[in-house]
Amino acid sequence: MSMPEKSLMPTEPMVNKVSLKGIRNSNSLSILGIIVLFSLGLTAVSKDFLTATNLFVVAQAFSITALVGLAQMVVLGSGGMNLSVGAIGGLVGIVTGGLMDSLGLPIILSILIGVIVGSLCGLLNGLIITRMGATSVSSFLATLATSSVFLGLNMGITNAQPFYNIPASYTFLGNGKIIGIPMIMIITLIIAALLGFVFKYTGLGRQILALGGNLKCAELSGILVQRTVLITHVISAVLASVAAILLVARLTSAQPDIGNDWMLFSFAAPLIGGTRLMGGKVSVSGTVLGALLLALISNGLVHLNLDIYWMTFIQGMIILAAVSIDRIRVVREERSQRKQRQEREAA
Amino acid sequence: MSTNRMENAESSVPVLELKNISKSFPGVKALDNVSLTLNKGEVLALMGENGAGKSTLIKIITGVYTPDEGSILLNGQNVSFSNPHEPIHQGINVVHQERNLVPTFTVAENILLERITKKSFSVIDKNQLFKDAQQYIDMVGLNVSPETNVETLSAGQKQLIEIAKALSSNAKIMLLDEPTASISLKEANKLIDTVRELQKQGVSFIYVSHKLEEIFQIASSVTVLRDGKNAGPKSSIKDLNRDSLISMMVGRKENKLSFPIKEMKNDSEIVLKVKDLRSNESYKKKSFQLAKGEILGWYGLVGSGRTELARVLTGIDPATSGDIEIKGKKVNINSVSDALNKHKIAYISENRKEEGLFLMHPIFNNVAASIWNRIRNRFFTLSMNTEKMIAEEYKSKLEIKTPSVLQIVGNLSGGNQQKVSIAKGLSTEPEILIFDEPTVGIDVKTKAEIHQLIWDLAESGKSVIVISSDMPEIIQLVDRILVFRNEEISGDIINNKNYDVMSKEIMENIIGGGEQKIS
Repeated sequence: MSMPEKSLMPTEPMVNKVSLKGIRNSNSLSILGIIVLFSLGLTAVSKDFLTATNLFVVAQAFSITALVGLAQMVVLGSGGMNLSVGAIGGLVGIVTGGLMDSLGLPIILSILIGVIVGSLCGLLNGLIITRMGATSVSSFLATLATSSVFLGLNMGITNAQPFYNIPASYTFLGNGKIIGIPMIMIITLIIAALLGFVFKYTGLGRQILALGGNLKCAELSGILVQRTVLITHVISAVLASVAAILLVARLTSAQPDIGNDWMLFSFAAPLIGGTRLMGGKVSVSGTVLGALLLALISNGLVHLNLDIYWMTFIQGMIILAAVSIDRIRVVREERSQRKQRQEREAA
Repeated sequence: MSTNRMENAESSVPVLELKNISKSFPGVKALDNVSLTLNKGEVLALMGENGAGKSTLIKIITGVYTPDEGSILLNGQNVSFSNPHEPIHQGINVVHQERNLVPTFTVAENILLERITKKSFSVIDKNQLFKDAQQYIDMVGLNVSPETNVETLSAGQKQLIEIAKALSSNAKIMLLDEPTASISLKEANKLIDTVRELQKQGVSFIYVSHKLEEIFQIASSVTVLRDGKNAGPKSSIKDLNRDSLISMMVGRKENKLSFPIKEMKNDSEIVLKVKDLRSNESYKKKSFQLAKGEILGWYGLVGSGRTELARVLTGIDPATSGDIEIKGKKVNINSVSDALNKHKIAYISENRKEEGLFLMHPIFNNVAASIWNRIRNRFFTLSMNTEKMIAEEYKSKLEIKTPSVLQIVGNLSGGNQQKVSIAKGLSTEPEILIFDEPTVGIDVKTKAEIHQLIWDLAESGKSVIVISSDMPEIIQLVDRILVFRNEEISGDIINNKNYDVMSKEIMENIIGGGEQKIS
């Protein structure tokens, strides 16, 4: 599997000698290790795991999880959060599916309108948050409220009825393959690579992380805080929209409850991957790997004949673990900073 | 020293006595063998210029710091405080400037905060609470209902509430730290009356203030600190006058590594001209001008309106009235980006950790943070190499000590962090630089380097404003000094770099008002 850039920002203290510490800090590598071990375990336990059909299913689940995780990651990086990723996804899924089913609009146009609706949702989030002072709490509250608004719109429009009449060429996005690789995964990885590029090579990426790193300092550095918050939320909403559009294609129907269960793993994937909960640091590759791990775990539960409802429990535990790791990392970094400073001052 | 007083003091043990207190921080000896005696019912003025050690001494009395050497005696008993709660239980309270109140609570709840928060599961009897609070409100002579919300009160009223709160915890010793700095004259008089009243009831006060007229009005004796030492024995206020007190505070200092006096030509270009400028935070009109190549010092106490004015000039707060002219052209500074990119004004924050730097990001990211929009190429992408090159340039120019510009800024020492913060400002290639407390908490060597840098910037034709509460720094470095007092520019002094003359003149401006009262 081709992964985007290994490390997004060269923020790890590269000047430290490459040592055990360096490897311990390199998140992606350790997640990859866990993924390999987990896969080997599943292969040993279940003969159905390492089959083309099953891997295809994993790839589909992984793609949606990755996109939703990235949608959350972008906002986390800016020091905020987006509780409405699922609600935006649900609304966009319904709009896109509904336009094709009820109005018979062309696929491209339906997707386009879906993405536009999603962007508007993000824009609304961003506008409310900037009016509330662009703090972490304001993003919590604003997106909590708008998630209910978007969900209500979704249910109001559809009366909670799905749209089933989805063109076959559209469902190719979710279920098709190109030279053996699932289409849905190709799209996801291209988007992840694009996002990696934004964070590594563009001013916008730096500005988003600057906001999360130190909001006051970003303001004093002449960064247009409000504009950056708006763009961040639009990007997040667009990613959620793409996830919904692909999910409609995979399910071959537009279900109004799309996105209902996204919130938890939208946080889990980036946090597992080393994105900082309080902002300022993100990792695209980490988020992608985190999503892969989550997809494998939920697939593994099926093979282990565990009730799917336990997935909710396990996801909760994983998120708690990820938050603890995040906290431990922060504390350890602060401690090492203090130590380095003291050593330097003593010298 | 009056012998009368000494005899009086003999008759009773001092309520608080500090003996030979010393306290060091990395790189500085903040207090060196300082002693202080406070008698029952006395108002002792604690004086000294910025950085003389008053704050450190107060923090030792209130248990924030523990002294390296020396002893604290409370009613003749040796005590040691290891946390800020212990002194309060011993009856020592410090009244800050409206810092210890919960704004959304009522007056009564604030005064009796300790009582209502002590037990988690008891029901609060509101009527009893209001009745008890009223007693303390009366003691401080305040005319507000205990049911009033604290956030609706004036600064002066809040200060009195703080005193009432201290009284409710049975305070015997009160430290008033610049209590009248942010309140009106009428309220200040009210406060002084209250202090007098409580003094009669046996409460002792340590009163920190820069306002001489107040000191002569209220204090019975004075202890002056200078450079972390006692600037002479405790004196009765009767034995002092205005001039002798100022002399004690400023003392004599060597003229060490002062920069030469720069003759500002009358025809040098005025780069920045500010007329009657006001903002919501800086509510009194201010006017000044700044010439090309000039270093202008802004001296004043914390809260005297310097940072607030700087915030307008750097586009953080909008101006509500008045004019700003840059090179003869009237301008509006609408945002920080505006100030940096259009008007070439850079601000280097006094608060490098909270406002100046992205501590978790590497040096090169920090240095280039203000110019990301300028250095990106036509495909809107940034080259990390460009950023690194810029950072390397400033690393060698400012002698930032680090093995690599990839280093995380949080790992650097304070001095080097400050240099990165300065580099971030310089990277925008400004014409006007505002340094807010550029050397606060920085070692002596780096301090000298930063001074040299500021000097060189001015030599190369940049105009610099240095905001500082460090009098020697101002006098050594700048060409002209604006003195800020109570939100106003109270003095505009050409600096002749003679420490004795300048420090007195600055002090006169800070203290102000005195002559008019006496004459």
